[in-house]
Amino acid sequence: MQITRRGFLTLSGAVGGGIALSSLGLNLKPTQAYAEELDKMGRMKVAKQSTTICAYCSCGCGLVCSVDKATGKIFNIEGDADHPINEGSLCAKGAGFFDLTEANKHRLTKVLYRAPYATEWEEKDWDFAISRIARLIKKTRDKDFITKNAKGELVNRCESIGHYGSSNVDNEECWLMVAKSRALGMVYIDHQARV
Amino acid sequence: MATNEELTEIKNIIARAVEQNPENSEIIKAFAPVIIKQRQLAAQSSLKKLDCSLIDKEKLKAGVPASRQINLFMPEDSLKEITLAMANAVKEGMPQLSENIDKISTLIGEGKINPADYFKSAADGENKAAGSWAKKLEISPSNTSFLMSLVGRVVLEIRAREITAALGAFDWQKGYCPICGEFPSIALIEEEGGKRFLHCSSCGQDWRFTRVSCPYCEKEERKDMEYFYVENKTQEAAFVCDKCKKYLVTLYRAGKIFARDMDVSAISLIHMDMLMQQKGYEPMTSCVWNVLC
Repeated sequence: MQITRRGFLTLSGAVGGGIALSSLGLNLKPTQAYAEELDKMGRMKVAKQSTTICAYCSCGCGLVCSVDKATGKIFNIEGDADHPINEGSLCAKGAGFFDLTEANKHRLTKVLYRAPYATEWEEKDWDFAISRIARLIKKTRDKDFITKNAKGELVNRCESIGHYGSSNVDNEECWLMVAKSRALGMVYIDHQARV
Repeated sequence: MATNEELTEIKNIIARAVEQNPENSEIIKAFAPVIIKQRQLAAQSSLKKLDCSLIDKEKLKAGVPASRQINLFMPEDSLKEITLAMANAVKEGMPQLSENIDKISTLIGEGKINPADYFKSAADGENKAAGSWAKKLEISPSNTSFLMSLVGRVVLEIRAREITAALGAFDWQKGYCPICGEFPSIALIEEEGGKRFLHCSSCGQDWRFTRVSCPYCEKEERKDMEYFYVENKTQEAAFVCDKCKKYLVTLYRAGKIFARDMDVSAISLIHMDMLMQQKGYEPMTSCVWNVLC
């Protein structure tokens, strides 16, 4: 007996070729009613999934992010099972990635400032925060800047400020941060992922 | 032979599906005797062994399913007994079909219908057996095709088990079934690890497939893969492909607390088939429960 692929597929798909479920004498009304209800009540949601790379350490584990198409908000982040590095698994930090999204109610969304010796936090705008940070950095750098070491060698460094990087920044942002730190003469530059 | 435990397990799976999906209970109950009988027959029936040495693993690797390398149906297969047993199961689950099914059973008993003929390919590659029997013997072609596809599943399930046991692990990276070449009817994304497994309802085979490609047209989409899901029931999902407009009902991140039968799960999610087809998508394969219009 010789069965060609096409012939075989016709066989296995024979039902699809001619038989509708309703022709089997089954009552589809309850299912239809349920499906209609899901649709009318807006309970059918559409999501988009995209693969991306974990921003934490240098392993570069794969992630799959699910975004609600209607709201544009991420509602799930999971390991990418097809990624050759992590094959779906994630470390504790990676598994907690979802908490970095705006879905985390504890995440700050506004600048909070507590003045020296104050007990309460005040809401401030970004202009205030950036200006104050810049002013303090400049003040500290200018005060402590070392141009030459004990041997009289030119060093141009600032030892009183350190930069602690974040794993949640990308390559380009990292470059910018390092360039800024070096320009200030900083030598203590480290990164969260090494900890 | 299917053990009592195995039979109890499939009955429990069906009972749970009825309880969890009351809206689809009538359909699940109608298919229950059919699925139970299929599992029993697949465990009990003895077919002549295939010569699995004819299956080339390199060809499998290249995407040639076993059905294109060897004949999965043989003239010696006990198709008559399987067909008559399935006919009784169909009558039990779908009594509306009893008259037509009885007629087919009688004709098989009288030797006027040889079920093996159904599985022979016609010269032009199309299966015309049901149509030809319908004309000559005045039986319903759709009921005949329905019954024979259920019989085909029993044989193919036995073959799938035989082939996977003989070959051991093999490399398969296609969206269609490595055994019979059919496209999947449902997928499972594991709760732990998130691997996607596709399920073939023609032969019962499961295989791993990447989550970022459409099993039907193989379009790879690493960004913006769309899927539909039911609010508060995120396990009930359907992945869609905007290129080929096919959908694949998916159990998303389903746990392992209870045993599962993928065909029962697929029937339990028939409302997803309805919704996807209403939205203009087509199933990747037509099986006995997802042709709705």
